[in-house]
Amino acid sequence: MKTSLNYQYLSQGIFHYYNGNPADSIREAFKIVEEKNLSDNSLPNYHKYKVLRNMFSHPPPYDNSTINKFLNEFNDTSFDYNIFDCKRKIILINLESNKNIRLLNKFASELISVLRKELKLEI
Amino acid sequence: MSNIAPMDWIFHYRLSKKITLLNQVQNSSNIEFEIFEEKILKKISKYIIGFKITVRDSLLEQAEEQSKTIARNLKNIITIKSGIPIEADLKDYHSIPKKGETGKIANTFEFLYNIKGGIIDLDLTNSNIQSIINSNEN
Repeated sequence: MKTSLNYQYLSQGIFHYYNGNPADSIREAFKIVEEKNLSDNSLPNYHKYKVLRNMFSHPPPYDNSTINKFLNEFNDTSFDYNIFDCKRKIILINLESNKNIRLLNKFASELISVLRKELKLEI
Repeated sequence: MSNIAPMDWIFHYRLSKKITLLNQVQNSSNIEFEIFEEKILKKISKYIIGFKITVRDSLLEQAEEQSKTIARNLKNIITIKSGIPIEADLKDYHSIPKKGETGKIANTFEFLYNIKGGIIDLDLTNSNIQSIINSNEN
């Protein structure tokens, strides 16, 4: 059953990517990372994906751990933000900015590519 | 022909988008791809447009459930391999007549999608709708 679910997650990840929603694509595809217990040893940019997934899954304010992990991977110029206020623990990535769409598309596409190999379904 | 006795069945699924086939597909004992060939000038393009699933020795209800599971998983595989999200919808099914039998049980579906989208009414002058349209929250 779990195997089948992972294919469903990746299929959904591709659906969101194809429809121009890279944030949802990362969130959906990351379920496989959790299901298969992948980590930074087996998944390049693991921490980047994880912190993005956390931010796309939960509304702010975030806890200190999430803010610190975000700041370990990104900074105030990595993305265009609607709000970037670490004191208030609010970081809101602007999902409509072209810069962010390009960057998130790149992350989503790389994640899909790695997970395709992980599920042994390369193109 | 009894509807109760286990029979062999063929379920025909159609994809929501045709998928370009650059090389070839290999069918299995119970799944056969439906390929469409399009010839433009001298070039022949091939597309996967659906597949047929054979379920043997089963009652219709069980066979349909089994075919749906296979179709769902195969749909995911095609999506992942092609990078194009597709749906696979049951187009028709029929039983395979045994030797000496001529009749068969068959059904064709007019409506391909189980999820129906639609709007009953939408009033753009409604204050709530206006509030949403004009909101500018970050």
